[in-house]
Amino acid sequence: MNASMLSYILLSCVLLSVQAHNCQVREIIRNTKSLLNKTEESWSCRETAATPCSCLPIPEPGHELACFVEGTNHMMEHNMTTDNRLFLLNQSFQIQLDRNLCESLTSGKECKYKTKGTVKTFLEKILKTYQEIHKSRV
Amino acid sequence: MQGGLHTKHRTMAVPGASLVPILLLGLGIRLAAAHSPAGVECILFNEEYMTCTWGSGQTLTANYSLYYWYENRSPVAECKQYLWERGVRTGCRFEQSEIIQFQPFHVRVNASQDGRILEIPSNRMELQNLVKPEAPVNLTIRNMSSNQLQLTWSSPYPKAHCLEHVVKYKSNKDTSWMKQEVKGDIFSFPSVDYEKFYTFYVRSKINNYCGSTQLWSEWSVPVFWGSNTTSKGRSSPEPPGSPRHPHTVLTVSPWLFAGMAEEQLQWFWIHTVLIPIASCLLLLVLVVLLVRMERVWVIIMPRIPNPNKNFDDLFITHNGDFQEWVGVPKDVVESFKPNYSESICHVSELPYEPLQDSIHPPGVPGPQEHGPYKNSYVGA
Repeated sequence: MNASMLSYILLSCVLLSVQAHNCQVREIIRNTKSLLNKTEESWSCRETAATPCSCLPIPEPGHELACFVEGTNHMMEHNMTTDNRLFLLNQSFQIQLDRNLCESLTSGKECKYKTKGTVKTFLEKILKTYQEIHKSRV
Repeated sequence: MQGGLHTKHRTMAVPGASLVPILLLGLGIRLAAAHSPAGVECILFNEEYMTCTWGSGQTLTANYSLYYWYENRSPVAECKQYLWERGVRTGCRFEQSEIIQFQPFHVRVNASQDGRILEIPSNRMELQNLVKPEAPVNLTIRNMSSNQLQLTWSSPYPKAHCLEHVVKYKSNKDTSWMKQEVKGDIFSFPSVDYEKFYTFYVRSKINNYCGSTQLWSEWSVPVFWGSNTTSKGRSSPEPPGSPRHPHTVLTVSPWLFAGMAEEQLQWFWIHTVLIPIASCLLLLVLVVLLVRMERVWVIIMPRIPNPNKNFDDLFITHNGDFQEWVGVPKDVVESFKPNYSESICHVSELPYEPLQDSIHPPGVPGPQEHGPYKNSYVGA
């Protein structure tokens, strides 16, 4: 293997590393924390029979990503906030679910939940899930 | 009269009967208010052990029992190691094997006295949010170039990537402490006054990436730096054996309070400047190599055939005479001319003359020669 071939291999590795996504744990934690810091009044959620505030799935173990995708989709569809971080979170969850990027999260494709929660409990569940991943990293 | 007497007795009995529930109620309130703990407070010390306490021996007199469980995970269990104060249980100690983070944790404390039991529930707890790391240790100051100080330390907490720190410092001329948040474990102090005497403290907390907590560790053992020749105005006492580094005098710049983590700055430059520039240079080198490497270039950009040289002979040597260049015989060339005429070529046969010695017996015809115009037969 001569020097020029080695250069080609190195370039391929560099390009692949740029293209590849990772689990983006820190970014998700930051965005979730920012959304949680918003006051509750800023969430457009009025409790009615038709539009309950406890409307977001709190996932069972093994179905976190699917429920996070579903929950953030629901928040965007109902215009619960105009904060772009919600869109970024939704995108991250969707990509991680499609590509199995988070080894720590077994990606069950279907959202399974026992209970539904408010925006606050839903975001806290996201935060806790990814804090656990980050803490377990060496 | 008799009716009046009964009435009098009834009237006297009512105040007595109504006092009993009032007394009982007062006793209950007294039990609840004076002897029950305000709440259960749990803290994980450096993730090595946890204590859940509900008061002190000075205010508690009942007999307390603690029960705990993890949501959807384990059965209810009683505390195995109680904390005692003045003969009263005031808390419970959990060992590391009994601690599970990121699982909702519930605690219930039962207070019993004189046969009555009061249950004191607690809220659901997330133990990862109750971690209190140990104070940093081994604080060390190094004098870097350009009059810059570098403060480093280490932490007994096992997961350094989960910590954030605060450095507290002031000089003997300052009246208040300055605090600076630090993400890594290095603090750079841009410029110092060598005539001043500085004191540094550090403490740690679990960062937002590993938990949601406001529990700071205790302040570390301080480290000192500077000249201690002027004792006036020195606000912090100097413990014996503390490190001191007397240096020459320098003026204090306005950047004194703008110290930032050197490690964070290094990572910033690496990620945003060095890696993109290196990637672009590598790409440029590879493109140049690709262009210069003809073996590879030919595969990507094959040469367009140019038959020009193959026809040099035709145009230069043979003056465009295609037939001559191809090598067609001249008589064939002549035959294609329109005024071509071919002369007749006469062919004749010579007569046959047999030999004198009759090689062949009589009556046997000899070899005959046949010609186109003559036909002779030789016989006996």
